[in-house]
Amino acid sequence: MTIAPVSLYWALALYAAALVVLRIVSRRLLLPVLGAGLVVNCLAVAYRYSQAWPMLPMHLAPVLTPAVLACLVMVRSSVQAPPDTRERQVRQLALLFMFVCLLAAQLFPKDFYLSFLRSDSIFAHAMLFAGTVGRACFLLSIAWSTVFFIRSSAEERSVCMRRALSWAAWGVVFWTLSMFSGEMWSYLGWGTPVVWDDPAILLMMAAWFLYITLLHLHFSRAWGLRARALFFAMGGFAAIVLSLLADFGPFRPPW
Amino acid sequence: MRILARFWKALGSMNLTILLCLLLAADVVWGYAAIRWRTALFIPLNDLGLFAWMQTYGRHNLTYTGWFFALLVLLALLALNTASCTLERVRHVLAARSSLSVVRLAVKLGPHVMHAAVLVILLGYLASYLYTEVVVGTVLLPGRSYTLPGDAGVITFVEFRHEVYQGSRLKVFQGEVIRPEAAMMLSAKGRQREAILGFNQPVRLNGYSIHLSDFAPKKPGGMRLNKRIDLHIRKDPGVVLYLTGIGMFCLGLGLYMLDWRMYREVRQ
Repeated sequence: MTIAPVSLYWALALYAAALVVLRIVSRRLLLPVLGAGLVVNCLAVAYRYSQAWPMLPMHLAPVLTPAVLACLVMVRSSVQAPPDTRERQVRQLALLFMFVCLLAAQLFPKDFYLSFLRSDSIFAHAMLFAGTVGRACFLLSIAWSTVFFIRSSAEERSVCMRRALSWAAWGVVFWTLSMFSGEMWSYLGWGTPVVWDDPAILLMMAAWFLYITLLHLHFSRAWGLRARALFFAMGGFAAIVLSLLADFGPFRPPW
Repeated sequence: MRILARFWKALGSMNLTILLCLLLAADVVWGYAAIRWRTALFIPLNDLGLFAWMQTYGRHNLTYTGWFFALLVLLALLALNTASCTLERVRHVLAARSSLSVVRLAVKLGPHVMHAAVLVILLGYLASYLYTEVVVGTVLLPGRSYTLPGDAGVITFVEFRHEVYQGSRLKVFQGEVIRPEAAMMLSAKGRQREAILGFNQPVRLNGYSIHLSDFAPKKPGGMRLNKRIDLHIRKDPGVVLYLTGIGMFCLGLGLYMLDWRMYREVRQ
C-alpha cells in the first residue's frame, strides 16, 4: 500500500478551525473537526514513516507531537461529561500548542535528512513514540498551570495544580522511558550509553532535569502555589522548546 | 562526628536537589551548544576513556569542554544528595515496617527504588567511562579471524548476508544493503558457537561485546569492493550496572504507580 504525500497546511487549517469551533461556534462540532485534523496529521506522519521504514524517519517529533496531543484531547473530550470552563480553556490552549508546533514544523523543516541504517531498531522507534507521548503530557501540564492564572478561586486553582502535576508526572514517566530506549539503542548500535556525535540527547536530559525539578518543587512545597504554577508554566515551556530545538531546521518560507 | 552527621543530613536536602537539577539543566544546554560547535572534541570520549580524554581534549579546550567538567561535579553532588536523602527516608520507612503489610511496604519503597536506580545508572556510566577496554579499527574479511585481547577468544568472519532495500520509496537506497548481517564463529575455551552480527545486534564473547561499525559492499553484485566488516570491540564493566539501573527504575516506577492507584487516589 502506498500513501500519498499530504500537505501539513490541511492539518493546520483544521486545527485552527477546531480552535475557532471550540471558542465561538459549538462544542459539539469540536470532535469531528479535531478528528479530521488528526486524520490529516496522522496521514502526514504515516507518509513520512512509509518513506523511511524500516528505518526511523528523521526529525519527526514536531509533526508527531500535535497528533499525540490531539489524541489525548479527543480521548479526554469523549470520556468526559460536558466539560467545565477550566477544561475548555485547557483544550483551547492544547489546540493552540498543536497549531504552533505544526506551523513551526512547516516553517522550519528538517525532514530533508535521510534515515540511517542503524535507526532500524525497535528501541529507536520506542524512543520517538515514548518521547512524543511524554512531550504531549508536558504540554497538557503547561496548559493546566497556565489556566491556574486565569481562574480566581483557591479551590479551582488547587484543582489546576493537581491536574498539572498529574500530567507532568505522566510526562516524566514517558520521557524517562524514551531516554532508556535511547540508551538501549545506543548500547546495541554503538556499544556506549551516550553517543556524543549527536547532542540532541543533552536537550532531552535538560528537559528531564527541569521536570524533575518541578516534581521535587511540588513534593518539597518549598515554594508557594503561585510560584510553583509559574515555574510549571514557564519552566515547562522552556523544557519543551529545548527538547524540540534539535528537530527544527532553517526557515523555509511557505511561498 | 556530630558535625559529619549534620553535614550528611544537610546534604540530603530537597532544596539542594532542586538547585542541582536546575544547574544541571542549564549545564547540559551549554553542553548542547558546545557539542554543536565542536563535535569532534567529544567523539573520542567513548574510545579514550574519561581520564585520557580529560587530560588531552578536555583540558586544552576548556571553552568548549568546561561544561563537561561542571557536569561531572554536579552529578557527583547529585549522587551524594540522592544517597543521603534516600538512605534517610528508607530508614524511616523500614522503622515503620511493623505497621505495614508487605505490599504496602513494597509500594512505599517504590520512589526510593527509583532514586537508588539513578545512583546505579550513574555508577554504571562512571565504570563505563573509567574501565572500558576498547579495540577500534578491526577489519575482517570472510574466513579471517581476530583474537580478542588476553586470549579471551577468537572471532571468525564466516559469511556476509544481507537484505537489500525493496521498493522505490527512497531512491537513494535502491538496490543498497539496508540490513547487513555477518555470520560469525565464536571460539573460547575450546567451545565454538555461531552468531549473527548486525547493526544493533552485537555479539558477546567472554565479557567482550562486538559491534558492527561498517561494512562493504554497500550494493551487492558487479565489480564491487571485497566483502569486509569493520568491528568495534569493547569490554565494558558498566553495562551490567546501567542495565540493572534501568530495570530497577522501571520496577520502582511500577511500584510508585501502584501506590498512586491503590492508595493515593483512594485517599483523594
